[in-house]
Parts: sequence; structure tokens; C-alpha cells
Amino acid sequence: MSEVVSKAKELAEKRKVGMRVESGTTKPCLKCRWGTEDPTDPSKGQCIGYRTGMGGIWKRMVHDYYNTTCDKFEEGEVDFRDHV
Amino acid sequence: MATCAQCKSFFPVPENADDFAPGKGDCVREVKDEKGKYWLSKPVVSDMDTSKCPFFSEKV
Amino acid sequence: MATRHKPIEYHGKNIEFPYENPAEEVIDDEYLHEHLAKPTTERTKRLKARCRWKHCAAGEFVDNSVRAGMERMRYWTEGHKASDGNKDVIKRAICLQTFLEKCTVILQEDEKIIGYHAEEPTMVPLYPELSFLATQDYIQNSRYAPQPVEEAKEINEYWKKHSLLSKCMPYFEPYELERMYRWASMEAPAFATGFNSIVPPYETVAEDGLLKRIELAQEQINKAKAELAAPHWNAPERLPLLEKIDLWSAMIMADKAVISWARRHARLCRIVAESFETDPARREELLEMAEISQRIPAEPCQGLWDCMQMKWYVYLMCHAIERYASGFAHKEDKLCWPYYKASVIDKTFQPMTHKDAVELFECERLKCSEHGAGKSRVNREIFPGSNDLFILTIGGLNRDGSDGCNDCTDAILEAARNIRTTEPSIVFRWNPKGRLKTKRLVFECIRDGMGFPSIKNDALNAHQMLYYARFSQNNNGATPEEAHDWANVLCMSPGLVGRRKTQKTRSEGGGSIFPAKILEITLNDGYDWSYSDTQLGPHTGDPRTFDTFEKLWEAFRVQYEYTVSISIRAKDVSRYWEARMLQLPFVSSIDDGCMELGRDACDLSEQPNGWHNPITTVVAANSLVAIKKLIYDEKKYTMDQMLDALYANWEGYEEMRRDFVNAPKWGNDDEYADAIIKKFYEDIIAGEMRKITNYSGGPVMPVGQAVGLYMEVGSRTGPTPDGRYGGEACDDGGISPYMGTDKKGPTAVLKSVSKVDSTTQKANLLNQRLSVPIMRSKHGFKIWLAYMNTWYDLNIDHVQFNCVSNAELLAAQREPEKHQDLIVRVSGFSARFVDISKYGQDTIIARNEQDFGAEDFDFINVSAEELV
Repeated sequence: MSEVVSKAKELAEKRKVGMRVESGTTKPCLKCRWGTEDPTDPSKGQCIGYRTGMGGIWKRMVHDYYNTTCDKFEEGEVDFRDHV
Repeated sequence: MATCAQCKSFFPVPENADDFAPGKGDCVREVKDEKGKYWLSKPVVSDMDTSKCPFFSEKV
Repeated sequence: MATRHKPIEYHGKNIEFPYENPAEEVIDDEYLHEHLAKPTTERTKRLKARCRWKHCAAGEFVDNSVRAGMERMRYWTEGHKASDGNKDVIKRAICLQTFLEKCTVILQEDEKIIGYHAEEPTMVPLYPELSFLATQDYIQNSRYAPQPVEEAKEINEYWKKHSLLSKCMPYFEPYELERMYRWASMEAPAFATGFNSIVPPYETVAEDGLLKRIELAQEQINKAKAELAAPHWNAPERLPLLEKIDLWSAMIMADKAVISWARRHARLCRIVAESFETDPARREELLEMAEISQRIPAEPCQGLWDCMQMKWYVYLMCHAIERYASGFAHKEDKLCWPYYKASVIDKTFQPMTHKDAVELFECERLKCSEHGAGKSRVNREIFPGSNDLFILTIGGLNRDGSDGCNDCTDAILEAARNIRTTEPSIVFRWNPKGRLKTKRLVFECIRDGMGFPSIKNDALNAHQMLYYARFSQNNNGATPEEAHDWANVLCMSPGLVGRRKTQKTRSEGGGSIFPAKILEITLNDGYDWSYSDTQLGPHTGDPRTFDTFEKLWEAFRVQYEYTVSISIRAKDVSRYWEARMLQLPFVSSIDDGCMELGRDACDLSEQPNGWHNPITTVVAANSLVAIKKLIYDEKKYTMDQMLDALYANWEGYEEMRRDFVNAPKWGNDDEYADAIIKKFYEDIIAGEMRKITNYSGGPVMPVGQAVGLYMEVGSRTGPTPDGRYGGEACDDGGISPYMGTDKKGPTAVLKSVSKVDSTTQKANLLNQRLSVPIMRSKHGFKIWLAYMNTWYDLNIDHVQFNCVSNAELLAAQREPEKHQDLIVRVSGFSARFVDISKYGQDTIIARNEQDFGAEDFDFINVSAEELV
């Protein structure tokens, strides 16, 4: 693995900020207001809860939409106006 | 047992229609919602049991 | 009060800009667009007020009452199971037949054009035979899952073995599918999303009617059977006839089913007239509608009402029932003209006034507005504020080179201006021969802020049809006369219209790749750290080891080529299977080529039309300019330093970011930036793509555009060297400058754009925003016309305009309920502003409003005398 790829992976890990896989979690991204299905495969997802310092929405991919959770979990639906 | 043929929404398909079949009819219902009125037409057969149909209304 | 533009000193004269309509001077800037709708009749006013809009945003339907229907998936599946053992093409006809026989048909009050594709007017149909993933997305959504949901799950399970997706998947490695599915560096293949587009040959139905098409198919079967039975059996020559006979048989089944379905609508109209309707005038109208649907599409059209009803039935078949396909591609004024003439001018059939014709076009616009597409999540994300890509084309030249604008063109434009709906969008083919009266109406639509017509260069695109014809595999591409018969297939790319040779599937042209993300991964040896945590492309090395700019350029080329190749391969694998298990018997029956040759619409390609859409090109291009200048030319920073700044999303590197933001940007007639970017468009974006040969045997060319993907991809793309922060929107289209970075006025933009050789690209979207006070002033039309003539002389492919003030956009953000009629141009489509997310709205507000100054007037050749 090249040095730049190692660095990229390290950064990707850092971007996950608390996102973790907990098999069978009752608070999966699927039910979270900041979660939305992956554009193609609904068993994966996108987190839109991460806003940059400038207020932009910088999405993070959720590889297991049914079993990933984090401490920012909030049940509900996001209003389309707060989305991309 | 009430059948489709007894319902006021039942309109028999005329014999000269492309999709004519004996006993076949159109179930035509008027629906009204907040946006306005519309009519739905669904193929049915005259002797179909209507006991589970929430829209059955006997012809007078 | 309205803001009046300040006077401009021009050639010694003080030019004032009073409003063309003095009454507008008292309308507040913040509410202008709420005063512009003027439906032509009380009927269209009522229809608009009760319109069941199905706009999408952020992957959802904006209106909470929209649900997924069950009937289409239920009856399609029933047909598929019942037809087991038949040839695939016959199975497809049986599926269609089953659905059309059993589905609910709908009539709504006030309608003059009828027909819907789901069991309730609030519902959208689903297509599990295309992609079980897209259907699963609906099923797991509690808000609009089809009911009963258990039945839906069972049906979707069935299609896991039989769908287009399941047929195509085995030809790709799992990691390849992963890379494509992410919508980060490229669009997912259509076999996974179910997305499609088509150009229906409406003309054959209008001119022949389906009964004639059935007759033609029967004649072909008879001839083939006679050939089979002829003396001296010859297997290689005659066995291929079996498949053709199957197809012609399927065509007959499909056409009969469609006629019968239309006649069910006729019966419904008659029943409602006789048993429900109390208004005598409406009763008469319903009986007339019944008569039309009894005759149409079985028989040829005779009047304008016939033609409009025919179009809607054929639209539903080709775009919503036989298969889902986006678009509304047709040359509407040409197609409708004979019927407009019969009804409005000659009054020989369905006599009506011009105003009646305008009402019919308004009715069609409203029909499009409440159409619901059962499309996949991503396609509900990327056209925010609209329901689907309804885009029709008008103007240009006729086959004989005469002006294609006629009174029907004007009726279409008047309807669009009067009723104010986002759908359908209109493309106007700009030709110097186009009559001024029609161009004035084009201007009025634009000035009123609709964002359309979007304008395409007529000659350039007719020429392109001839270029593609060279690659026709059966030497039957467009003739010089036919080359004039083109319309946009979707937002931007032209394709032939007419009785044959039209594009039938998106696997020919369509689909996207995202250069901004491709540049991001180029800077990370193919790895995507900022969104998917995946290796998205090949390993092209550590950029810190690139000692010249050319090495970076070549690394980008490798990443780009990889993305293009896999994307086109996916399209052609789809095409292979479309022709074998997703045949279109109805579409085939109405195409003269399919009828003559006995080949399915997905299989036959007479006119190649390969294209793919690079979206976010300008972010990549501006980034390359900044890197070249600051790292390789001036050596102010090292690659290492820049990467550290990007990894920190510029936080702690504010001064460095300022330098990257201030590096030359596209759209300012800047020699340094423009030279690099011209080469980027011609050498890489087009150059690499054109090395591909697709299913049809022709090259694939780039169609630079954006749809809503500039936002979606932006939110999946990390910080970029043009100074953009991670997650921020990318450029809003094709060859348009990045929002807010075109600082030298409208003519500098034209100068930059004209440097790229338009013939190297298939299309390139140019978004511009014009000053409201100038366009609504008494000089507005003159200035705009001069601008357009200059644009045409510079041989630029496309331009489209937003003409709306920030005051009004900001007011709509504050009080959306008061701005329901505010429309904006997003990219290749227009949207209701209040139906877009704030993220998207902000990207419209951030676009530079191009004011005109004396230098611009000089460049576009407006004389001072004209403006006094």
C-alpha cells in the first residue's frame, strides 16, 4: 500500500467520528433522521449529519445501514430543506 | 351474497368492445379528495363476491 | 417597489432603463414572480390550483400524499409468471397486456387530456423487473411503501432472479460494482438504478395509427412465413426469421392491448358523462373525449386534440408503462403542426381558436406536472424541485432549410409563459432564420424567470447528427434532410426524432462521471478518503512524486479513462441484456426501422448517438489551473503542503486557501486559465471519451452538464485545490463558470467558453444569470437579442438563463408558502425554488447575476441609438 493510500485510509477513519457497527443495534442509521439510503443499494446509507465549519453538508458513507450507529443518533425523518 | 352486478358502480362492458367477455364489467367509482374529484375504472366480473369490497353500494 | 437599473453612459449617451411594463414599477422585487402567472382559461387556472405535483427533493417526494402503487408490479409479475415457457419477447408483450387489461384507469375533473399509469392519481408505479435494489428502497420506506408491503416483498424477491440487474451483475467483479454504485466518481449503471431515457417515434402513431401498425406487422409475418415455406430450404438465411416473427407477433399483441386500454378510457368518459356529470357542457366534452379515445391511437390523428391525446398515451406507454424512461423528447411544434393547422387555421377537424390551442398546451403542461415517476432514490435526489426530466424541443429549421417556427411554436411558448409550471422544460433551437415574433416569446419566458427555453445552436447540432450518421452500422444514419429533425433526448444531448432512427435506450447515451472526484482520488493514488473509504480507481502513484505538472495531468487521464471505460462497458452490458430480456414490443411496433427489419428497439441502432456526461468538470479544471500556477510554475507551495491543507479541509491554512481561491478561474477570459482548461476539455474530457466505441459502433462524446448532481457529488467530494471546502457544491453545469467566480461580466464568459471547440464535445451546458431590471426594461429584448446573436456567431453550443433577483430568492427562503410560483433554472431542468433544499437554493443565489455595462454593449454590438 502506498504511503498516500495509508494516509487516505487514516483520514477516512477519522471522518467516521464515532460511527460504529453494532450488530442488531436498536439505533441504526436506517432509523436516524440524519441517515438516508445509499443512492443505489438501500442496505447501505449516507450520513448527512456532518456539517463542515462553514455549514456545508459533507456526506459520509455508511457501509452497513442496518447495523451502524453513533452517539448522534436521533430517530426521525429529516426535512428535505435540511438535506442536499 | 351480493355480487358486483348488484352494485351501482358496475357497468357491463358492451359486446362490441375489444375487451368484451361475458359477465365482464367496469367498476366505476367517483372519489373526492382535497384536490378534487376523479373517477376510477377497474375491470370486474358480474358474479364476483363483494363481501370484502368496502365500496359496495347496492343499485336502487 | 421594483428596482430600476441605474442609467449607463454609452457612447456619450445616458441610457435609462424604465420598465417595459410601467405597471411593474410598483411591484415589490421580492414578489415579482407571484404576479406573472396568467392561465389562459378558467379551466387551466383550476387545474393548476388542484395539480397533484410530484416534485422530489433529497430523495423524497415533497408532497406527503405520494405513495408507491402496487398494480404495475403486481400485474407485470403476474404476466411474467403466466407467460413462462414463451420466448422472452412474447413474455414482455404478455406482461404489458396483463397490466393494460387489469389496471385501473383514471379520469379527473376538468381534464381534456386523460391517462395515468398507477391506480390512484397520487401514486407512482414501480419496476422491479429493472432493479430490485430500487424497488427495495421503496419497500423499506414506511412513508410510501407499496401496500400490502408483504406482497411487494414477495414480488421483489421473485425479480431477484429475473431482473435486468441480476442478468448484468455477473459480468462485473464485486469491487467494480461497489465503485459504480457509490455515485462518487461515476454514475451507477442503469441496470442498478432502472433509469432510462427514450425518444418515442410519435410520428408513426400520429400518421398511421396503431391499427395500421398491426396490419404492417401482420404483413411482415405473412411474408416471412411464405419465405420459410419457399422451395429449397436455406437455414442460415431463413432461421433468423423465427425471431423476427416472434417480435412482429409481440408487436401485434402490444398494439392491440394499447388500443383496448385507450378504449377503456373512452368508456370511462362515456360512463361519467352519462351517469355522474351534471354540467351539460362538461357532459358534451366528455362524450367528445370518449370519441377521441375510441379512435386514438388506433387511427391516425386528424385534429390537434387527437394529437395531444395521442402524444399522452404514447408517452405513458414508452416512458411509464412498458418501461420507465425519463424525458419528453420530441420536436413538438413540428409534430403538432399539421394538426394545429387542421384545427386552428383550416378548421377542418376539431375546429378551435389559437387560444383553445394554447389551453390544450397548458393542459399538457399540467398533465406533465402531476405525472409521477417511480424512479430510484438517486433519481429522486438529483432533479430537486421537479418531478422528472420533461424536456421538449421547438424551433430550428425544417428539413428543407426553411424556418421551423410556426404558430404552433408560439402557442407552446404562450402556454409555458401563461401557466408557469416547471414541467415540461423547453429547448429552443436557435437559428438566424428563426422568426423574430417567436424569439420574442422565447425572451418573454426567460425574462419571466422560467429558466427555459434553454437554447441550443441549431446548425452545430444538425451537423452533429450527420457526424454520427457516418458510423451507422447499417449505413442508414441521418440524411442531410433528416439531420434537421433533432430534439434534446434529455437535458442537453441532441438525438434524431421522427419515424425511425431515434434513440430508444439510455445505454446508447446518458450516464455521468465526475471529474472533481476523479481529481480528488488522483491526488490520493485512486483512494476516496472523503466519502466512501474505498479504492475508487486504479493506483496512479503518489502525487508528491510528480515532479512535473504533466505527470499529474497524465495520472488524471488514467483515472478518467478508467472511469469512462467501466461506465460505457456497463451501459453496453445493459444493452446486450435489454435486447434479450427487456424487449419493447410496443416501442418497436411504432418504429419504422424495427418494423421493417424485425428487430427490437433495444437491439436496433441505425443512428449512433453515444454520449456520457462529465459533471463537475470546472471544479477539476480550476483546481488543475491552481495547482499548475502555485505548485509547478510559481513554486509557492509544495504538493505536500497542499495535500495537508486539503486533508484539514483548509482549516489552519486560510492564507494558502486564499491563494488557491484567487488563482485564475474559468469564465473571465483569462489567457492562463483558459489555455489549460481548453486543453482539458479537448484533450482529456473529449479526447479520452472519444477513443471509446460503443454498442452502436460510434464514438462516445462528452455532454457537459450538471442536473442536481453538482450538489450531490459536491456533498460526496472532499476539499479541492480550487479553494472549495469539502462537501460544498461543485460547478453547476458543463462549461459554466463556478458559481460566483465569473467576475468580468457576461461577455468575458462568452469569450472563455468560445475558446473550446464546440465540435469536440457533444454538448456543453452554459448557465447564466441575467439582471432582472435590465431584462424587464424597455431595452431588455434588444439587449438579449444582441447577446444571443453574438452567442450564435461564437459557435457556442448552449446557453440558458436564470432571471430572478436575490431579493426574491431570499424572501422565498424566509417565507416559502408565499412563493409557490417562483421557478429557477437549476441545470438542465427548472425547479420550483421552494421545493429545493436550502443547500441547493444557496447554490442558485451564489451564481453571479450578470449585469451589462458599456463594454458588453459594444461586444454584443448594440448601438447607442437603439437604446435611447
